[in-house]
Amino acid sequence: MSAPSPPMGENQRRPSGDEPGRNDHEEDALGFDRRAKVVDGALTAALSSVAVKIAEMSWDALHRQIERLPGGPLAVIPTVGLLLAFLLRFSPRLGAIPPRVLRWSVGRATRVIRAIGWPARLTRWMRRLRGWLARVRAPLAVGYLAACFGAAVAFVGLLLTQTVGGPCDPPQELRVITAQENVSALRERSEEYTAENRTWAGCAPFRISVGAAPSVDEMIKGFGNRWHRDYSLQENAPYFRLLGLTPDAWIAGSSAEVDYVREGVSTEGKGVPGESAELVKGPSVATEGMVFATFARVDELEQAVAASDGNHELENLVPQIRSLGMHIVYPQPGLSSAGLVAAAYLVDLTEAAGDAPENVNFDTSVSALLCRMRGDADQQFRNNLVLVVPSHSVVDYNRGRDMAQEDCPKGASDGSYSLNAISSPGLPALDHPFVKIDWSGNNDPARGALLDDFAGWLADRGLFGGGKPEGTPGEGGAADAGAAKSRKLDARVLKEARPKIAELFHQVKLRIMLDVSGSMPWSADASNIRDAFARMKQTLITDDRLSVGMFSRKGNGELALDSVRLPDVATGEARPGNLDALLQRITLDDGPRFDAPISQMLEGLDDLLPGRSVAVVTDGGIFNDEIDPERAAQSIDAALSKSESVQNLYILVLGGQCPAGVSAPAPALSPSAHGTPKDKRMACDLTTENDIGDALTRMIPKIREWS
Amino acid sequence: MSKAPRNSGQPRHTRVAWAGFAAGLMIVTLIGLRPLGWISTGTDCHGGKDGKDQELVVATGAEVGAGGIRRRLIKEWNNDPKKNIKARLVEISESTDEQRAEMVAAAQSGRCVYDVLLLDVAWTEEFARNGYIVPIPAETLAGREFLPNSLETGKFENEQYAVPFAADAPLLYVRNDGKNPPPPPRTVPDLLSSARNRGYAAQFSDYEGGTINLMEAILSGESTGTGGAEWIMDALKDSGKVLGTLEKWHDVATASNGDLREESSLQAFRSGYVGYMRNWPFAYRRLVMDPSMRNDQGGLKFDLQAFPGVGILGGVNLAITRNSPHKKAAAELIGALTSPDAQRLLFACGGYAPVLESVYRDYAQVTGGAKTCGELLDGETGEGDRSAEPESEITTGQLRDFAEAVHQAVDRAVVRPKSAYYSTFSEVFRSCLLPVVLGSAVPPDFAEFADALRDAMDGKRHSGDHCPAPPET
Repeated sequence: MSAPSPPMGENQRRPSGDEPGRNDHEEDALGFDRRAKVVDGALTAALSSVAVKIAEMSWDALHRQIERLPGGPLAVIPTVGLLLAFLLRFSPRLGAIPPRVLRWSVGRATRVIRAIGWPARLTRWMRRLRGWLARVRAPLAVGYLAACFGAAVAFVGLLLTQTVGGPCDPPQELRVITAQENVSALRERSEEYTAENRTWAGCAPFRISVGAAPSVDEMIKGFGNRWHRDYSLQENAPYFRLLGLTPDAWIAGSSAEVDYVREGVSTEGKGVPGESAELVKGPSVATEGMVFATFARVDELEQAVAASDGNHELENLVPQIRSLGMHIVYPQPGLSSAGLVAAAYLVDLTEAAGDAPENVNFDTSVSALLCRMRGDADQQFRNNLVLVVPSHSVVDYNRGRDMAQEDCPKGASDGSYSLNAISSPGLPALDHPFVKIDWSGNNDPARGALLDDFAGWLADRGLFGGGKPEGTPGEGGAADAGAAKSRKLDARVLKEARPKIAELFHQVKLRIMLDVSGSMPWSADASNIRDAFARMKQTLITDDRLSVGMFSRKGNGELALDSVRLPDVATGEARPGNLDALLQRITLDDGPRFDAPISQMLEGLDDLLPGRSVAVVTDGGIFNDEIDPERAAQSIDAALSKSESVQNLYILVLGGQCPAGVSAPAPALSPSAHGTPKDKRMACDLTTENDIGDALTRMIPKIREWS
Repeated sequence: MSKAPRNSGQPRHTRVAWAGFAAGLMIVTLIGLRPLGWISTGTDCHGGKDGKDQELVVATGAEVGAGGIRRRLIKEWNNDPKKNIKARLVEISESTDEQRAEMVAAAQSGRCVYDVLLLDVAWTEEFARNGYIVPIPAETLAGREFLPNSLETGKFENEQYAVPFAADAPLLYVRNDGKNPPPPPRTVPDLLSSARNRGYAAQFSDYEGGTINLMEAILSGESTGTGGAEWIMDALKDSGKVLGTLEKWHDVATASNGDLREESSLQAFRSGYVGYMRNWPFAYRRLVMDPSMRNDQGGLKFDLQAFPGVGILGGVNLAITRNSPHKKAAAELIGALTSPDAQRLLFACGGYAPVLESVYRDYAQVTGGAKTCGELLDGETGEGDRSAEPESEITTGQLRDFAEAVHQAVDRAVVRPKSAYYSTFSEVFRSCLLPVVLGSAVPPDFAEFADALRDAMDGKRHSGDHCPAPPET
């Protein structure tokens, strides 16, 4: 036992550790007290961090905000925990809660263990653990608090760097495709999602590009060969075309469409080995119904329905529509998945009604169809139409939303210009699944995680707004609410519909005559001719027959007329299945080629089988070479009337003007469009070099109608 | 009895504290800095390129309406027996946005998808800064006299990362048919005045063309901007002048409901709905080859001149990707595509504005080098103003006029702000000012707008309205 320390003089320093009145016991007590405070502080910080983490996992908005900060949860949560522990120091009562909670928890757990009577070995192990913890808890606590402090310093440093610092890091590029009519909505959602995920400094970690999806048939081929357009059109030429954006994700119209494409890829797609894609179906991001939409006569139609069975089933509604002299239209099934869905569910009824020629489809997409309606001022024409489109398209149309189509007239529609949606339980619901595309050899986990997050976000918000898809009406209002009652779409229905549609359609027997005079923009290898036909091919049915010819005048004024034939086919004509083989035989001769008048060409077509329609693709210069250029239309008409084999003539002019007196292709529903099968018809359409493919695509239904 | 050493645990605790602090600091710093260029997972080319190791793949947009001349050039390369490696063109899309997205995604994937990229001039900075492309070897440019403005667009940090392939600058097309057509406008005020009566097609739609037309409109307001990153912010400082300028353009911008783009402008001009059209050089060939644009004497129904105001420089450049395993061959291909022979062919047959001074000199003097497309393809020699068959190709005289207008336009043009985030800048710029010129929104608070533009140059956008109306006074 040591003697107590003598009192010190004023200028004397006590040996270190010799605080006045303190002895070893007090010194140990002091160290113990400090260690206990450190341990308590660490416990408080840890428990606070756990609480913040639980809140972050439970609350999506908080999670996103924390993700936006530099370092993410790993930086923010310990920093917040440390901050809370520091603040709680100033309130002893509050500060004592976390360690008290922990000790209470441990005490309860110990009692439970004793009550259960765990094996003695486990009890001994826990006693050893407790002893070890008692020895290391102080350094553990110090280490933990220091690590939190280090994280906090790094976090603050990163915050300052991002605020004051330079440009953002390059964002990850993501590419998503969807049907044309959904592009605007998807772009808006993508911008919202990007804005919500910008970092605190305003940097976007990713950039989402949205593009229109190609047709179902093109997707089947594209998913099997690195998204390249059909190889057969290239015939070893040194160029390839992609089908637009190579998708990282696809928002399909329906799960049935996904199944249909998947099956097509596995059976028909003859892709480059190892370069095909896997389609991984994710959550539904919207639910809506297909609807009938009409500009006028809604009351009249409802009265007709009420007077009959009173229900809106297709078997009752469609005949009532026809009984009023109205005509059902939808986009071309070969090019639009919405058009295919519409056709699939109406094709049986069409046959039952016996009015297949009345079933007219115009355009290549819902957007194109609606844009045409916006730009069409003929009220009588519009009032007799019933469009079959997705319900959100009706809302978009009425609100004047951007249709993602160049040249589409803008402006909201009201009154007689607005569409009214009529739902039918017979039309299917579209569940719009988010499909992730995994390309062979290109599976980036980071990209996959981003897409999964986007899919979840989109499923939560809805592609068209309005929250979760199921059971929650979106902008489509009643039509969307009705989607829950609509029948589910089956891939088998789509598959079985294609041949049925083909049976109903009139056969096209067409010779396409290409003006190959020197002024025409055909490339020397005719590759752009083949490009133009690529799109048109998708509107053909199995029974269609096509042939191609070229005409011009030689230097001596003699007509040069060439036919492109398939040598192994008696008629030389191609079906859709071997059209590529025909196109590959198109070659352009060298040497000067001059304009030849259409009338001379028609008179020279002596190899044409009877009953063929002829389409002429020209830049219009040839009209000046008719006997009387001022009366070119009459000259051409006379030659058409005299021809024994040419039934109809469709002139497609690239730039330039149609000859005076030749009208544009009449809408199918106007009186002039109808006539006896023996009547000869002539029409002229204008297009541009860029749009030859689309113009040929629009031409086919017109030729079919004339047939 | 000796005392126990005070703080015997302190050195240990100190070490533990420092270790913990260092661990926390390092882990959070590493996570926070990811992904950065120097810390990225790398984009090495693994195992060859899509199984086609001996092929040069050139990524570009879809070539429509130019007679397939680019494909022809690639075929010529492939037919050259001296070339050990064949080339292949991959046409991505007609949409420039999709082209960009596709090229960036390919670069980020780390796969060796493309060897050569045909980049819009506005993307060079982005691709160079992010390491997607590599500098061009000096020998590729040797002996070539490129247009200075165009060559500048391929530079990044004073190194040449891309070589000009085709120039683009705005031209004014003026219909000269109809009764008593007025003389072509020499100034922008003249143009705007005449356009009110005769109609004017320009591109004030919501896409990059809209940004360019807006910039040209602002520059036409006697701005002192000389190009570069700061000019637009400098111009915006005088918000009163900017607003006054945009007001003058309101009538012409809204004439078509703000819907026109390049093709639709061309249609409107061709159909005679408008008497003036602002468009790129591609439209010239299309109009000249159109029989409906010829008068009874065989002359053209329109005149051509450089845009009377200050135009924005466009064009496309050729660059070599970082992942290409055939960089040397890629440089040779670029050299071939920018040779004087190739440039003449692109000009005469495809309507591409040349990037070499020598081609402009040839056509200005109508020397032996000035040939029509047919002559170039046939290898014939041309002398003086050699006429081709009417309407079948552009004459040397027409090519001379075309070259003169394009050269003048390129000389006068200024570049867009250079930034790796130019597209973000363009979106912010356009989203604020396009509605103003179309009359559908009030002018923004220009101080906040300029801040938003500066942030956008760094790729930053903050939530909230970056086009707030000025505070009420």
